[in-house]
Amino acid sequence: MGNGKKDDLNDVPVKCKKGLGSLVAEVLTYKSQVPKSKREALPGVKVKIAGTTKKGDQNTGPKGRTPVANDLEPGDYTVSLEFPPNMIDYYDVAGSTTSDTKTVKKGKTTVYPFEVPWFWVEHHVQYDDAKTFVPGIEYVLRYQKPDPPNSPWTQRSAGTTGLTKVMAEKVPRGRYKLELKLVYDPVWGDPQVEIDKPIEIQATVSGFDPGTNGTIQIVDLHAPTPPLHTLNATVTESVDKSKRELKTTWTPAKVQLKDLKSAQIAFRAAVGNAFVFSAPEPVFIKEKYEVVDGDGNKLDTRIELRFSGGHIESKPVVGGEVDVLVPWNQVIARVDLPDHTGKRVALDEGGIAGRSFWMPA
Amino acid sequence: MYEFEDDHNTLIPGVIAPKIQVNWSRHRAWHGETVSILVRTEFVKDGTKLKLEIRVKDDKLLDSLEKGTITSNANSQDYKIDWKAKKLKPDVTEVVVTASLKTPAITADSESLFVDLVPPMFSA
Repeated sequence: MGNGKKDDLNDVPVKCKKGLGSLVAEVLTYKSQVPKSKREALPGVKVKIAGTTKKGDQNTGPKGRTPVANDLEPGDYTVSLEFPPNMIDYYDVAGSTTSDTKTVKKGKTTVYPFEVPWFWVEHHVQYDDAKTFVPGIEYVLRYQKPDPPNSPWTQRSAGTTGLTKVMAEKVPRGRYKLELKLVYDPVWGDPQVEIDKPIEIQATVSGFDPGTNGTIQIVDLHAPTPPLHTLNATVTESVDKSKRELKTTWTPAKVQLKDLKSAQIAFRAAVGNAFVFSAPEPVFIKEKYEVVDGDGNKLDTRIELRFSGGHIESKPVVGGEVDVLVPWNQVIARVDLPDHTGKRVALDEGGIAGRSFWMPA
Repeated sequence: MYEFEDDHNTLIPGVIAPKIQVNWSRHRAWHGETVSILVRTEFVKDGTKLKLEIRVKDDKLLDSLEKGTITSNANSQDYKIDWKAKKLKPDVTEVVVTASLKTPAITADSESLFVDLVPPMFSA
């Protein structure tokens, strides 16, 4: 209360009968906690007048004022404000003066000024340097009533971030939560992808409700588009409810990766317009090799395979058989049998005929 | 979680941490071949300028590329390995590429690309 105005508003019509006075109430509002903010009229507030002359309740109009209450016997009059239910949460009624007593004098119009600030909330999105605004991020602003405790969260607004803060004026008092619609922290369940072996894929999600549909695209590391394969998934809450996830288990099939040109894939997890690329993973195919001597006898030995992309597999051979993880799109560049130095190894692999390797003694 | 909470009459600051990763398209290459440098980012706006520095691991700078920009959180560039003028030793060279952005100020190193500087000689 107390905006410094004198009780002589120029545009208040004064028509007092001889020996009587009048009063008018004015209710203004401004941005809470910003005392120098511009004042605005607050219409729709009920004004009660109590004093010697009985007057009915009035409402503030577009200029925030009541009609002038005329023909008042001089004396003390108390003016009280009563906010309708749809306004009470939006204005700091409890923290404002909403009742005032003044003396109405004969031949004068006494003004009762009130100021009731509005509630607001602002938000912005910046990088962790705390100075660079990040545009283009979709968000949801949710609201929780202060009473009763643990009231449900409801969506208050939604939008996309820009290069300035977003200001929401005249909002209800309570708790606000800014949820950014993002997909992040992509994680492969294993350090490598093997054909026909299930692998877990997940990314963390914020701003999207559980049940929202998303996709996980498997892409060639070389080319984010087009996807090699697409998996559908829905946003779920983690078991401990601490986060939301887009998660699935994928069993890669050779045919799904037929267009994979490189030896590595990544995934692109997306919900709505938000997406994230994972780190790359190498792709392997498990193949069984036979290791036999010149007479066809199955060997128990050790084999070391060097592939064209640099990958090395070193494994024991048991009963003439060994399972080898072959990197996608790579061929064996060299074979070593450390227990059989000084001999020549013939290799029948990858459709390349007539290859053999001499192992130095 | 990118969720930020506070009462009314406050500025709720949302803070996001952008990320960048860079990879060579291959693990090994011969001198003279063209490989790809693959950059992927998180939360970086389109048009952000990208700087790539290619250097012998923990050593000499070989090339600096500043022609790329981020689009849809990705940038891929072909790179021809041509270091004839760089006076390198004729053994296998381990090379890394560092990708960096100015705003946001983030940087990442690739894993090594092993480059055989001397072409192989095959017997007839």
